Order: sequence, then C-alpha cells, then structure tokens
Amino acid sequence: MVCGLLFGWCLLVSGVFAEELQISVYVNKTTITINETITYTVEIEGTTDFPDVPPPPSDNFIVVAGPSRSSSIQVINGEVSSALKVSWHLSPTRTGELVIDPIEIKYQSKTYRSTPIKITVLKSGSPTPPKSPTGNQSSPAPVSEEDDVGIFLKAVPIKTEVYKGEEITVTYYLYYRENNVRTFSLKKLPDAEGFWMENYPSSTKPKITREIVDGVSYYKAQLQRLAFFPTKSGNLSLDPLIINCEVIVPRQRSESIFDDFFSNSFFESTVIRAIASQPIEVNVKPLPEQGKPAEFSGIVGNYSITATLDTLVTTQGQALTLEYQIQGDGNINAIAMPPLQLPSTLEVFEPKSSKTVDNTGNRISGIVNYEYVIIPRVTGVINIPAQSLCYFDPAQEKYVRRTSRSFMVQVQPQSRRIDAQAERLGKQEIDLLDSDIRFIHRQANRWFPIARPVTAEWWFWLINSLSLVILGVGLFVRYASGTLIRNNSYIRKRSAWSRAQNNLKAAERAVKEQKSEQALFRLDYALTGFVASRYGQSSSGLGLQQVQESLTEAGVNEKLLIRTLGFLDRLGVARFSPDTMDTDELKAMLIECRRVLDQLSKVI
Amino acid sequence: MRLKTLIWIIFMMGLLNTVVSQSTDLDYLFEQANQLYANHQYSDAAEIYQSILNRGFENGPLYYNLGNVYYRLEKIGLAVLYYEKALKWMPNQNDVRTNLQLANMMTQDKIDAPPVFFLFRWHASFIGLNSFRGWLFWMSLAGLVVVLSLVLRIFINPRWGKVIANTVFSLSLTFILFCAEPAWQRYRTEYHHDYGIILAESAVSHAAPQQQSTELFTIHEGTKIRVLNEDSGWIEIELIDGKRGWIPEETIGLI
Repeated sequence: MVCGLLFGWCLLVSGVFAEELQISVYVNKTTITINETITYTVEIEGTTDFPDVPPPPSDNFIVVAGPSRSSSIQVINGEVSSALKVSWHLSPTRTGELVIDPIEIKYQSKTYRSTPIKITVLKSGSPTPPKSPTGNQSSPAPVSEEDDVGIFLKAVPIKTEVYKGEEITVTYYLYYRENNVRTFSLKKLPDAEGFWMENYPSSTKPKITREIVDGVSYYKAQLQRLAFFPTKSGNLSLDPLIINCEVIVPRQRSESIFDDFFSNSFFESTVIRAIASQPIEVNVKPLPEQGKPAEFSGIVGNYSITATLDTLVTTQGQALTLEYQIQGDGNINAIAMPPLQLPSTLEVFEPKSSKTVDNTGNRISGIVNYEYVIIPRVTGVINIPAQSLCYFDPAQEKYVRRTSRSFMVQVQPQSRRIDAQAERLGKQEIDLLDSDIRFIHRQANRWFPIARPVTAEWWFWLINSLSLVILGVGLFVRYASGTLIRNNSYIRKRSAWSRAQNNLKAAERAVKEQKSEQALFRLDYALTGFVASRYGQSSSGLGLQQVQESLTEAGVNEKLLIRTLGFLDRLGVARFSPDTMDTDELKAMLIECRRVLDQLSKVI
Repeated sequence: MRLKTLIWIIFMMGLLNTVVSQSTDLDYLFEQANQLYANHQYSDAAEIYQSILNRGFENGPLYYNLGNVYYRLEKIGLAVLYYEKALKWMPNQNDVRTNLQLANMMTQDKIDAPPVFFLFRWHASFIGLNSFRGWLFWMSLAGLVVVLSLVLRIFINPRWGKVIANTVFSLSLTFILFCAEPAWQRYRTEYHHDYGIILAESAVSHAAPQQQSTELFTIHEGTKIRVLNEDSGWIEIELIDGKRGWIPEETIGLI
C-alpha cells in the first residue's frame, strides 16, 4: 500500500527475467512552501540483493536529511518477498515549479530509470493544499512545516544592497509558537556561492524573546549570525541555512474519558524536524571606477597600516626585520600587501605573513602582519619609503589611502666579512675559514709586454720554422730523387765525374798490378765515359768521331780538343798492343788522362 | 762587408743591452714591491706593482702579488680581478687558486651556479692544465715530430723503420688534434675579455643601457660576470645563474 500522494512509478522492466525488479519513486507532497521539506522515497521490490540507490539528482533541492533505509521480508504461502525503502528529506532552494530529475539504478547489467517529479514550491505563508492522510506511510517525515508545528527559521540580513566585498551580516532566528522545541542543531550552512563567509560565534543557550508575526505570538531565538562578503557583483542569492529541531509532538488520542489523563508531557513524543530558512536575494553593486587608484587590489572596509623596523643603525650585511601591520574591519581575507618600493641596495626576502580574524564584535575585523627580512648590501644611509594601502570604504563610498611611516637606516661597514657570511659558505670554504692567503711570489722569471701575442715567442718560430724546413727539404729530396730515378741521362750526367774517378782508380790499380790491357781499357772508359755521361749518351760505342763532335758542340777550346783527341788516339793505338807498354808509359798515360779530365770537367 | 757586419753586431748588442737593462729594472721594482709587501706597506707595494703594469709589462707573479696586495687592503674586487688575471698565466698554480677562493669568500654575492655535469668539470680542469702558450708549445713540438716521422717514412727503407715512423706519425697527429680544443678554449679565455669582475662596492643592473630604465638587481664588489655586449658606456652582463642586465662600464674590470 502506498500513501495517498504517491507518485508511483513502476519502472520498466524489459523482457521476462527470473528476478524482476519493481522500483517505485515517490514523494509525500507535490505542493509545499519554501520553508517546507518533502520526503523523497525510492522503493525496490523483487530481489534480496538490492542494488545501490543514488541520491536524488536535482539542483532545485538540497538534501537536508537522509538517506534512511528500511527493509522488510515477508513469507506468504512459502513465497519469500523482500522490499527496500530509501528516503531523503529535501528542501527547495527557490520557489516555482521545480523538477526532481530522474534517477538511474543499475541491476544485473540493466538500467532502470524513473520519470521526473514536479513539485510546486510556494512562497512562505502561502496556503498549501491540505495534507492527505498518511495511512501506512512507511517513512515518517521529519519535515519543517510552519503550518504543521508552528516552527520556522527566518534569515534577517542587515542590508540586501551592498558593494562588492562589503560585509552583509545575516542573523538567523528560530520562531516557534509553543514551547515545543526541545533541542536544535545546525544541519547545513548556506553554500554561499559568490560569497566569502565568516561565522560569528553562537551561544548554546540562545536568548529567547517574544514577537508577534501576522498577529500570532511566537517565541524568537537567535541561533546563528553569519557574515557574507560578496566576491562578485550582480544579483546573488544566499542559500537557506538548515537546522535540525527536536520537536515535541503530542500523541494521537481518541475521545475518551482518559483524554485528560493522557494529555500531559509524559505521553508526548519527539521527532526530528529539518527547518530551512528562506533564501535571500542580494543586489551586489560593483565598486565605482571613478577615483579608483591604480594600485587598488580589492580591499573593502576600513583599515589602518603601521610599519616597524627593529633598528635604525646596523652594519652592512646584517639582517633587519621590517614589519607592516594592517588592521581594520572588512574583507580581511582579501588583504594582500602591496609590492614594496624598496631601494635595490636592500636585499629583500619573501615575507612571513600571519592573519588574525576577529569575529567577536559587530563586524568582522582582523589584523594582517607582513614581516620582511631585509639585508642592506651597501654602507651609508638607506631610505625605506612609506608604504601606502588603498581600500574602498563603503560607509564613505569612496577610495581611501592610508600610509605607514618611512625609515632612514644608517648602515655601517662590516669588519669581518668572511665571518659574517660563514653560514653561506660551502664545506671547502669553511675549511679555509681560519687560513690566510698564501705569500707573494718572489721570483718574476720573465717579463712580457702586455698583450704580447704568442707569435712573439722565439720557440714558436723556431719549432714551426724547423718543421717547415724539414718538411720542405724532405719533399724536395723526395721530388728530386724521384726525378733522378726516372731520368737515366740525368743520373749519368750527375754521376759522370765520380764514375770517371772510379775508372781512374781502377786503372791505377791495374797499372800497379801491371795489367796493362785492363789499365788502358779503364783509362779509355774513364775519358769517353765522362764525355758520354756529361752529354747524356751511352758510353758504349762512343768513338773518336763522336767525342770530337760532342766537344766541338760544347765549345771546348781547340787546344783542349786536340789534346783530348790526341790522348784518345794514343790510347787507341796502345790498346792494340798493350804488351809493348811498360809501367812508366802507363803511369804517364794515367797522369795525362787525369789532366785531360780535370780540364774537361771545368768546361763541360 | 766587414763594416756592415760590425754595425749589425753593435745594433744587436745595443738591443740586447736595452732588453736586459729593462728587465733588470723591472726585476728591481718587483723586488722592491715585494719587500714593501713583506713590511706590510701594502699601499706602497701596490703602487710599485702598478708602475710595472704602467710600463707595459706583465707576468703571472706580478698579477698574483697584486691580488695579494689588494686582498690585504680589503679591496676585494681588485684582488679577485688580479687573481683571475694571474690564473690566465698560471692555471696550475695552487697558490693562485687558494687565494682566489679566499677572496671570493669575502664577496657579498653568493650566486648559486647551476650544477655542472662532472664530465664538463673534468674537461674544464683538463683545459686549465696549460696556458694557451703551453698548449701551443706542445702542439708545435708534436708538429715537429709529425714532420720528422713523415720525412723518415719517406726515406727509411727497412720495413720495421716504416712501421715505427707510421706509428709516431699517427700518435703525434692524434696528440695535435687532442690539444687543439683545449688550446682554443684557453685562447678564448686569455685573449678575449669575456669575463669581468665588479670593482664598485655595488652596481645596480638595469633592464636597458639607460640610467632611467628599470632596476633589475644589485651586484656587489668581487662578483664575476660574463660580458655579453657593450653600448655607449654600458655593458650587458650575465651572472652565473643566468640573470642578465646592463651596468655602467666603469663599475667592472675586465679579466
């Protein structure tokens, strides 16, 4: 049996299977006010192995409670059936005709898909259709209903038209008619998309006052105070805040004589109700462009800036601490230190920043500290200029510039520079810390003109010239020897004298051994061979006639020509009768041959 | 003929005498400055060492001693500059390297150089084994050996002789090729002023060679920089960590 407002949607089961799922999706109401919630239930039957059930997918509703699960097993006539119910309590985020999107459930490689559910959401206070009897509704709804139990949550902003970055304080009050709220707890803070949210501390025992609303007297309890800082301009919406209330609900009773007896607290029960506030529409104005400083970084509120420096007299390389403190109220999280305009003679390290947000007052305030470590790298007086901070003051509706003080730092020279930098040295350098420089070199060896080129070095020319000479000579000799080897006449010409001398020596030996024939042959060969070699001819077959022609062509004077030819003629005669010649004659021939060769060697 | 020879001999002797007397004079000044240094009269010693430079002469020990003098006078920029110059002359001198390291410890800027691959570090050490003159001397000698082995190869007849000549020729030629790269690197180091030392107490680096341009960073005395460009009294520099900027040329000394 399902409830009267059941939107049953028996989902599609295609084909015939052994385990056929029946999935129903329904809500308990289709028309609600913005302050109410609905119960969204998914019921699965037809299996004992229940698939996972996803939460309702809808941007129009937020889940304020759930999922709650209940399962049941029945055995009727031996047949076992089981069912699973999964419920969520949903709160609408806006008014109008809203749709809860279908859900998809996967089971045994099949996908079951529901149909969308339409919900009409009315404004707060609008009459809603009477609630149908719940019957055997399996999921009792802990729903916020002002009409039902006389409880509602009201969000009260201090203003709904602000500048971007300006604080909006929203106070949440719980209204209830009777003293029927036992406890409450925060269920969900607003998503606050487009806002930076800051929480004010809330008391566990809120102050309770009475207030008349639409002619009805309510108890009013201040539950929560939140600060919202819009981060963009335009019409923005603040989501509802949701709380869980433990509400006392009287038990149903019949008209009996015992009514009075049972109508006391002992017979009352409590239920948990989720109560949501109404959404708030906020008009966020952009910051004015007129008068906006170039260095403005989006800080909105009311601030002051102060600067402190740990000392005004220091030594070169000694670290200083420069601290800036920005204090005030506004969007403290948006504060960023403007870039420092420090002289380049100061080495500046990344600042250490800290932020303290104070939410105990009427407005969000805080302190932001920036601590810079700076090291003066030069001696003298260094000016640390004033630092300015620009912000937009929404109260005055104009941009304001605050300025810190400036400093003049006296930097004295460093005495022991190595010690001062000891922490920055490597291991090898630390080993040298206690050592001193090595002594000067006493010997200068040799002096060089400044920028003297290497070509001015004697060894450069000596070695390279020697190399060139050796290379040149070697190549020349190789060339020359190659030429001689290839040219026989040239070889003969070059070796004519030495060969003639060798023949003379052989003739001399033959004379001593009294081998006259051989001696005469050697003398002839020495002279004719010399002449033939000098003219590149073969000595064999060179007769008296050829010698005469050769010498005449060479321009040998007549006297020498006659002497040469005469000697050769005598030699020819002697060679026909060598035995007739004695040793003295042979020696005379030898001497004559030498003389003729001497004279010839000078002219040919 | 005899007269000409006589004039030539007299001229050469005169030249030799001038060179020798010049050298003796410089030695005397050098020794005098050394003595002043030993007596802790560093300013006077610096003046005399500088007078040698002003006469147009230099050598490794002179730069080394100048580095020592300026170290004692706490002029760290000049000390580093002259130690760096001395390194050009005496790349293997341990004294120079140690004193340069000590001087660098006194500089303010500790710029972290990007890590160097160990092979590149070995390569740099290898190049520093010799000056450019040293590398060239060995290359010239190897060239002589190449020529000799080539000539021997041509004229020697026995087979074993040709094998030896070939081997010597190949080894010498390889040696020359091996030395060519370090010689080139040393040549660039010694004859090109690619590096400099900041001599001013501090120098503000600008984005452009103009005083009004954006200030980028401040470097201090003794920092070694690489010279990239020059433009009307400004020099574009690069630090070992890659930062670039323009500084006035009078703030640096070229190595």
